[in-house]
Amino acid sequence: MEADRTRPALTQLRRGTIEFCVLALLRNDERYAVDLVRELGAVDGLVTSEGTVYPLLSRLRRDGLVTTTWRESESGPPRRYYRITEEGGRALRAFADDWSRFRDAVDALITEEAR
Amino acid sequence: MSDERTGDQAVATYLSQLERAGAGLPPDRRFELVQQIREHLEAVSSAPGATEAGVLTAIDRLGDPTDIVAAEEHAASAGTTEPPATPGAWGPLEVVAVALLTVGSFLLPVVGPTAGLVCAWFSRRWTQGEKTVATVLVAPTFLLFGLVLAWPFLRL
Repeated sequence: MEADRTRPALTQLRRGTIEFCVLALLRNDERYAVDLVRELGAVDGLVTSEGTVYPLLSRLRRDGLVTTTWRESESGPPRRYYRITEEGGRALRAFADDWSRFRDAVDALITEEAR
Repeated sequence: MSDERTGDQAVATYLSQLERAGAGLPPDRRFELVQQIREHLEAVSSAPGATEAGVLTAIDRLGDPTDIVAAEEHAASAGTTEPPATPGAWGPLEVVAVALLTVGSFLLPVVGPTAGLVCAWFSRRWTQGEKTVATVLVAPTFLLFGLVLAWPFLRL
């Protein structure tokens, strides 16, 4: 686990972007909660631990950006699947635009600095 | 597959740590959080070929329960479309809900307050707890109304 306190900027960035990363993973297809959480956990620097993704999923559901459904499983208990809503799709597209502008602006400044 | 799942003891210990760490959360949030983590671990432990080591690794990757609870506290305060309920946060929906629950009960018994509750539950300004309180307070009036209607028959 990373020492978050020494990297406050990364923590803030992560908090601001992670929910859109979740929405992006759901863009084309619904996903099983455990797979979704593992996939996010496997991306370097995105989450501090897999468990911290669950509160985010709950909030996205409360905000109406994702919905959940239950599926029977052959090998165990029923599985919770997440699916993006229309509102979630809109939020994702809006963020994608903002993000590319923001990223380009920061890149331009930071690259300049490094010279 | 045996009934006893792999790593049951480790899962139980971890879940009780999470329960304790989340003692300060609203009960519905804590319940949902523990439920999600339980499902995650049950999926791992009931998968074909599950091993105790695999379950322990899954627990390790879920992370420190206090971190998960901190994420829950942060998520609760960072809602995008559901801001934390603020005083004076009344929209048309809330006004209609209260009108139906109060005046509506006299004008249209049962129908009025039922519609009021539906409005209340659709509100994004009121918390889950407030909606539950409203429902619990209103439900007995339905019973009362039913009793009043049934009274003549009960007397017989």
